[in-house]
Amino acid sequence: MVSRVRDFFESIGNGVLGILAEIALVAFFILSGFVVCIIWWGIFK
Amino acid sequence: MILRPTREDYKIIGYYLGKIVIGIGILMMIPFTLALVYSEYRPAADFLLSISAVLLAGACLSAICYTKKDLATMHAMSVAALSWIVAMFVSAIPLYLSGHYGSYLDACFEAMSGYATTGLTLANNLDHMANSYNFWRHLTMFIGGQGIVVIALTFLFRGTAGAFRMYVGEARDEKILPNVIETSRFIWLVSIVFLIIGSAALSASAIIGGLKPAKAIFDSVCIFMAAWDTGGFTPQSQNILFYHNFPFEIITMAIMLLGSINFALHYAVWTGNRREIYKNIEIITLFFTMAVTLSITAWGFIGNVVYPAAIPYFRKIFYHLISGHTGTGYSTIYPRQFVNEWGPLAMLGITIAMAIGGSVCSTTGAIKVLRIGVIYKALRQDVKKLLLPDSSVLVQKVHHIKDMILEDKHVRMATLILLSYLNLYIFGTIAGMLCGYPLASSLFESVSAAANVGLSCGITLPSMPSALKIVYIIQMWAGRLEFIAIFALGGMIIASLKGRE
Amino acid sequence: MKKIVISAIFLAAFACSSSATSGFAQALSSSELIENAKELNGAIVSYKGEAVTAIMRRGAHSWISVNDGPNAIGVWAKNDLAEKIIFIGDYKYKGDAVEIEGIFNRACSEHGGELDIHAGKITVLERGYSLAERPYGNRMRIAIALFLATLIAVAFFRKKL
Repeated sequence: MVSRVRDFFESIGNGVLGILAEIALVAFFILSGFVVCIIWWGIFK
Repeated sequence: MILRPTREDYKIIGYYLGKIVIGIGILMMIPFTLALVYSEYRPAADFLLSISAVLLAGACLSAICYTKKDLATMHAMSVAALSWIVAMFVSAIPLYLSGHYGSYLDACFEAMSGYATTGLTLANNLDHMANSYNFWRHLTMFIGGQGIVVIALTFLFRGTAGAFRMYVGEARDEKILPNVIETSRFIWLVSIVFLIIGSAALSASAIIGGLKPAKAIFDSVCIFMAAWDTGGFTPQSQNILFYHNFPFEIITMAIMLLGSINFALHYAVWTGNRREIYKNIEIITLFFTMAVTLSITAWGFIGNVVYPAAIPYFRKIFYHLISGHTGTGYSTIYPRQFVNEWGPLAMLGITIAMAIGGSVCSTTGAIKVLRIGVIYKALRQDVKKLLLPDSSVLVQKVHHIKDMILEDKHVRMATLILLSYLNLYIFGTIAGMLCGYPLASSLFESVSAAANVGLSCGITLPSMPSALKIVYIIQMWAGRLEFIAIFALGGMIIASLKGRE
Repeated sequence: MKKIVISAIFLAAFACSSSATSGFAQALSSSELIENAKELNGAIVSYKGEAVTAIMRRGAHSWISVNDGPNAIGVWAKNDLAEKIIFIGDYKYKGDAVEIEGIFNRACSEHGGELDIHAGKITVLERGYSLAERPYGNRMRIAIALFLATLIAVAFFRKKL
């Protein structure tokens, strides 16, 4: 019984950390896009 | 020796199609309820009429074709392919009744555009459309993005082997969980969780930007559904430009990117395997293809300064690159500006991004980055083999959720899909050019339809030739289902005409 | 050819312009504005359409969406100008028909490169009104009848579904 409750909270925890990891991933993509844009803008403005 | 399908075969297909039609009728209850909530009585009447007609048709079809047999691969593929066509015809009914479409063909185009999460629209007078009709347009994207079969599997069908074959027919071959019903339910869980988070974030941003709360929430839910399912409809005619809101645009970019991730990857990351985020071949490939296509698009502005300052440059170019690459189709410029201001090279960068698409088993369309990654690795392996001694054995590994050895069958499948999409893109381009449109525009629009993106450079209008509307409907359908189910359906039709008893 | 057309529009509008304060404003459609954005960048234009969807207030200014049929264009106006608009077009209302006179921007530097008009003057040409729904009595009756028929059919066939 106790282990089931623990498993439940563990899976919620994993889910939340997973969501945060994915948000970090998209933030990384967007920032990288910004960097690439700035590079080309800088060179060819 | 091809055998002619028997009466029993047709019955199996008809029975399951009938159930899917019933499912769509039930889903129409949602906009019907919304019509009552918003006191939109004419739309309520239209939806009640549609629900009744659709449920009646589905019930009769299932009852007439009643069978207890399970689906074999041939049946499953045919059902997967046909259910999209049938769903289109059926879902177009309330849209046509709304009066916002020039013809039933236009309403069918819109329905297919919704289910295939394309986002090309033929709606007239969208700014005066009732909330319930509008919600139905966006709901078709949510349904289509998850998969019509996935919905049916979640609610209507038993989890049989035949059910799994239908799931595969709908271009989803990742078995995320052992049971296909559990897989469908997981896909729903991820979608609902992000629906809550995404809509909340968008609503907050919209309200800060000056939109009234009720409108902000309605629009945010609609836009979340269209962004997550990388569709591209908006509830008003100015697309994302209407909001004039940089943070809002960033949030939609995040949602688009999240929606373009493989559901199997979501599952891995959500159950503790967070390292998969940077080890997965699709994420790595996506990073590189985005960087390359972004660069090509940016080069289109060399000597053609449209956005002199850095922030507008980033906001416009990157937004459309992400929108195109994830297959969403959200835009903050007018379609004709692609042609008049961006120019052919920038358009080509976007076109290539659209042609590549997102991950497999996600809501995106097109060739998809797993195949690009696989083909690249195969090429690398072949080049390495040339450089090594003849007797050496080279094993190429690919990491996709788990480590796999790259085998010829993977490369073969990836290449066949790539070639099929390229053919489809060219087919649509030729059709566009035969209707009088120039090459760059025809290619752009054709890829947008076939890759289920929805960015337009001005060709898609209610006034465009009917033949081209039909071509794009076929492209949206074929592109969404990744051909196999369609080839199977075609095979079955030929067998019914020419097969031996 | 394009330049001749644009110049002709300039001359015609100049000849027709009646307001002393509007100066060189040309009355143009949204399609004309978008199609000739490069040439018209920075020019004072006159644009007519219906105020639709929502007005978004941002500090001392507001965004107004003005739709003339084929497209809607975003108009950035001071609040005292925006407040002239009472009816905004959606399913239930026809929005005020307005004429916007202001500076057209192809890629506005103040607004992230967006195509917009910074309004100097807003005139409400025709007040909007509440829209009556198209008749639905007959349709509702048919719908209810069909719905009942469906319930009967589903009950009849329930074993086979």
